[in-house]
Amino acid sequence: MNFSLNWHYSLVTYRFCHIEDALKHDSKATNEVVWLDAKRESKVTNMVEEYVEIISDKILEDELAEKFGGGIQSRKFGIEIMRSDRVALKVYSSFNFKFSNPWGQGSFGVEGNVITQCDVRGEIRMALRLKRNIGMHTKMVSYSTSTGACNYAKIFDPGGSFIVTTTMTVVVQQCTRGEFQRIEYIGTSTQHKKIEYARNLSDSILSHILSSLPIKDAVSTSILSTRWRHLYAYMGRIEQFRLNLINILRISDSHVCGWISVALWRGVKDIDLVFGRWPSHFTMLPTALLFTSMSLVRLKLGFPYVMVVPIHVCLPCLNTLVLQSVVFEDDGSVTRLLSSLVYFKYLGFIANNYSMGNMPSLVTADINISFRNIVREIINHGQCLVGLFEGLGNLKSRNGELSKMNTWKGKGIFEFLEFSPNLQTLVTFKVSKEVWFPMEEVPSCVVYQLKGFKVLDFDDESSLFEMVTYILNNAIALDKLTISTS
Amino acid sequence: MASTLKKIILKSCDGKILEVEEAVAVQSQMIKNMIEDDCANEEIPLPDITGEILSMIIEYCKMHVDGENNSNNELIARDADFITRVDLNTLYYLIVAANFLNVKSLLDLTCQRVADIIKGKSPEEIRLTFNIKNDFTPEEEEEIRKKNAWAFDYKD
Repeated sequence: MNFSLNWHYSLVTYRFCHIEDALKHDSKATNEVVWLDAKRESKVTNMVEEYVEIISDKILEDELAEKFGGGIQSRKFGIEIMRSDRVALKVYSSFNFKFSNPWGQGSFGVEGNVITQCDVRGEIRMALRLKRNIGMHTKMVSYSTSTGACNYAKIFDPGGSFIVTTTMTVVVQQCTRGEFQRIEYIGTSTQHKKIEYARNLSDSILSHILSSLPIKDAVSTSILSTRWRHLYAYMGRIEQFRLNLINILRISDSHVCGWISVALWRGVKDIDLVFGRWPSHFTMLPTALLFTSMSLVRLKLGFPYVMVVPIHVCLPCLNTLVLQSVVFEDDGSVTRLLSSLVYFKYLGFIANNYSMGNMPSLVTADINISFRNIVREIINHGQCLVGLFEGLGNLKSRNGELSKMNTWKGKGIFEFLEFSPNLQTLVTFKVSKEVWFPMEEVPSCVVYQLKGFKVLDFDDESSLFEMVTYILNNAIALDKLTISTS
Repeated sequence: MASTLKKIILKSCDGKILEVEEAVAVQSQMIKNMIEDDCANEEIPLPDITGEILSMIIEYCKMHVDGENNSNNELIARDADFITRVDLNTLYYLIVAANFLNVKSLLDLTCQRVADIIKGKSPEEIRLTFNIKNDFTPEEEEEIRKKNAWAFDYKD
């Protein structure tokens, strides 16, 4: 039996010789691992214990001596071979090191205990297959602990299958005097006990860990071992779920419904559900689950059909709602849906039979309303627009918070200003020619509240010029006007 | 205020005895429950937690109690500093202990750290780091790789 490991940094070389095997192998060979044979294992235990021979701790000793003076006082060796479904060989070598005082102040000694542990593990079948010549690929990982600098060396074959992990320790453990506070060094590695970390941790902890990983990394852990195979499926939370079915046709309803339900069960906080105009998608939204989620913070809905909101709506954490072409069936539940919003974004066509109700916490509204047929829509929906603004405006008067109106097409802007007594910032672009500003009527927010006014995409075509003039003429509190052109 | 100065006595598995202020000790939900149930008047034995790990946990809890008034960013920076000083072995024992003592923020922190270590590593490297034995047959392994091929598509 011949075992020899040569570190790429040549610090320590061990060789364990047995007469019998030494005859067969050239014992001077380095970079060679002769693996234990299962049948011979008990024999090997005996012979290693008998014939262990440390050939060279020389470099390590020299380096220590150079750094601290002094030298080795005594040595101890130990061998441990473990057999389970693998073979592990541990070789302990510990020696006491007597240091002299490197700064020449008297003669105190520091006794360090240097433990070297060599741990060779491998599955027998793999070991037999690979035998020698494993084309070692060595990787060094350095990190530091409170006991000093450590290096942890891993040796594995380039193919990536597990072969050998080896660690070495040099820890200077004791300082007998206060003066010698820290012994810095050391070339080799720290003691690194082999713990099968994952094996001893419960499933709940492992899934906790997995839930902190990006989903791809989490799923790729299924290949680690049989225990990990299905663990990722028990991952605790899903934080974010985005579904965009526009332009996707061949997807089964039940799948989609399943995905959404799972996301909701897993406490999703941020969900995007955007459906295309595909009739079959109509029925598959698990509304009962969706509108009673205790975890949902942000909800984006794009649902080009009339949406039936269940009677019981309870979304205690929801603060951001983005609606894209959503038409609700009735009024009551919508009001409840909106009550705790801080951020509200509305895109698409204005719906014609509900009011936006009460939003007492709203800070930011981002409204972009489209009109399909300008004349008809204004006539039909004028009342709704006013309803929406009432909803937005009321709460602002209570809170007095900054409100922002973004990507505004201009329709009904005057009404909006009237209903927003506390509006402080207004962002607008593309105000069409049809919008006009009655000179004699000035909403109070324009006069007393408006501090910031921003025009994006300024051009001559629209009535932005009139609007800027109107604002400048009337806004007493205005202190910042920003105009940008495209 | 007398109750906040009350000391809780903890005993590690290697016999080390640590006195901890109640405000610090109740960071552990387990100890908090014990105090509420009036079971914490004598020393609390903690099997499986060594003195070294226990003092680290107490250091952590103290940091959080003292830092209550600090900004969130400052606490995050301190947490990061605390956890990056820890090697893998210690991290393992910290997780076990944080789980046992039910210190939620520490459990989150340590699990996040493990996740960071796993992140971006190949399965082989993960096995090596955490000493996980691959007990799949090559066929099974191939099957899993096929089933979730997207997750095993390493760009680098």
